[in-house]
Amino acid sequence: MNITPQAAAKLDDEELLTLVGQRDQVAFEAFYDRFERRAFSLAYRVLGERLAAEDTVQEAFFSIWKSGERFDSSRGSAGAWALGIVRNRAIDTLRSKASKTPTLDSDDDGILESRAADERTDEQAFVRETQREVRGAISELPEKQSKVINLAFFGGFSQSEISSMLDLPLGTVKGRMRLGLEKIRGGLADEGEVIS
Amino acid sequence: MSPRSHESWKEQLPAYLLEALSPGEKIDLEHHLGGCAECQAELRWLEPAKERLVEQVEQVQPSPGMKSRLMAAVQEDLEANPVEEPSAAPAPSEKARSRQREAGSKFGWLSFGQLLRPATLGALAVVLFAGVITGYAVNGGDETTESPTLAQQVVPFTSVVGRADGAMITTGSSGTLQITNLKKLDDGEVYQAWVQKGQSIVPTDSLFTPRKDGTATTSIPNLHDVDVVMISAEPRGGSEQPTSAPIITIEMPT
Repeated sequence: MNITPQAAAKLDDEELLTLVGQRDQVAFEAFYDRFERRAFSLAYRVLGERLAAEDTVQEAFFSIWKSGERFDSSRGSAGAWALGIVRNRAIDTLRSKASKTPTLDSDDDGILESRAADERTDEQAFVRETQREVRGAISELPEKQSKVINLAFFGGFSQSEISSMLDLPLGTVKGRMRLGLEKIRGGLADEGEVIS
Repeated sequence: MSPRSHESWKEQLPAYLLEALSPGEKIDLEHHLGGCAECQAELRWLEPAKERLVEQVEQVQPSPGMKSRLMAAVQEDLEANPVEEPSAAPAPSEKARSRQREAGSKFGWLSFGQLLRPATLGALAVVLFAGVITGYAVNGGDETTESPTLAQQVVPFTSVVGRADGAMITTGSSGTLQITNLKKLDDGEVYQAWVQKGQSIVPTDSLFTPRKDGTATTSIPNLHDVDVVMISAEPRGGSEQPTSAPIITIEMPT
């Protein structure tokens, strides 16, 4: 039996997900409503296409419906988990789309010259991501910090890939990620950098 | 594997939060996180930064149809697979498992079709293909010279090694593998997906472990020119070459 919408409204995200794991349709709808706009905006930010973003969000939330019990609260909040699924699907879609268009629309970065043809999917995403307008909290970061965060979170690159692309030690990439996140979090005021 | 200091785990947390770890690094860190209250606390502390990052993305309103299509798919899934009353039920009988395999689409996999926009539904191709092949020596045979764009397809499979079954759901050139009845792994092992292209078997970054109920989900980002997808148990971090026989073999439709 489903919970009532009124009762669902009083539950926190994790409690709703517990019910989703028991296939409670009302709880699922309440959970979806809480994150619909943020999820769509995130997918749109990654993909830049409305229709692809809608498909991505639908698929992501359907997977949550099918596997709501997979959520593990020791690894973060329910919202972050759900939006992480959306983001990961969007990145998968982005890479899939990029792999279908083998020609680069920009070659203004020396990185592009030195890499093999089968790596150009990443290069395309790299060029696209570095050319995107930076908004919000991340725009207030020093460029070197915002770049690694953008490439990682919105471009789908691993820290090792970013290290290679930017020709930076892995420790520097990690340090920039940490400082950037801490600054967004409001925990740091200075603009120091960790170099390893 | 050499022991790692707590600090070295901790310094991976920002990349973990930003989804910037390799699959192997992610599995290792999650293993550590499971038993480290300090890292869990650190992650919790950092998490609002990621949420702020997401929240400050320019907000865009989706179309009303997005929700209605999703809820229609959920409704269909509920009708096809009704909620069961909780009970101390024995393991599914072979008959029940057989029925589930035969049903394939009825057990929710096809509900993905509901997620497509109406305009694309007409072009949706559902392929039911039971790929049951043992060993790595799979006859590719019918390699395509033109790789057609894969529409949304559901490729059910049943393992002949163990009880695993499920389906590969492809969208375009990427796929999501949904598995049930997956055997529990030994300590230090993960499942790894492999793709066969012609005579070559290529490792993927898809490393995963089954959930407590024996289910698992993993993505295969690029299925271009892939003839067969296979799953095998490998040491944590994955392998460059398979070290055990595949427990699942899925022949992809051409």
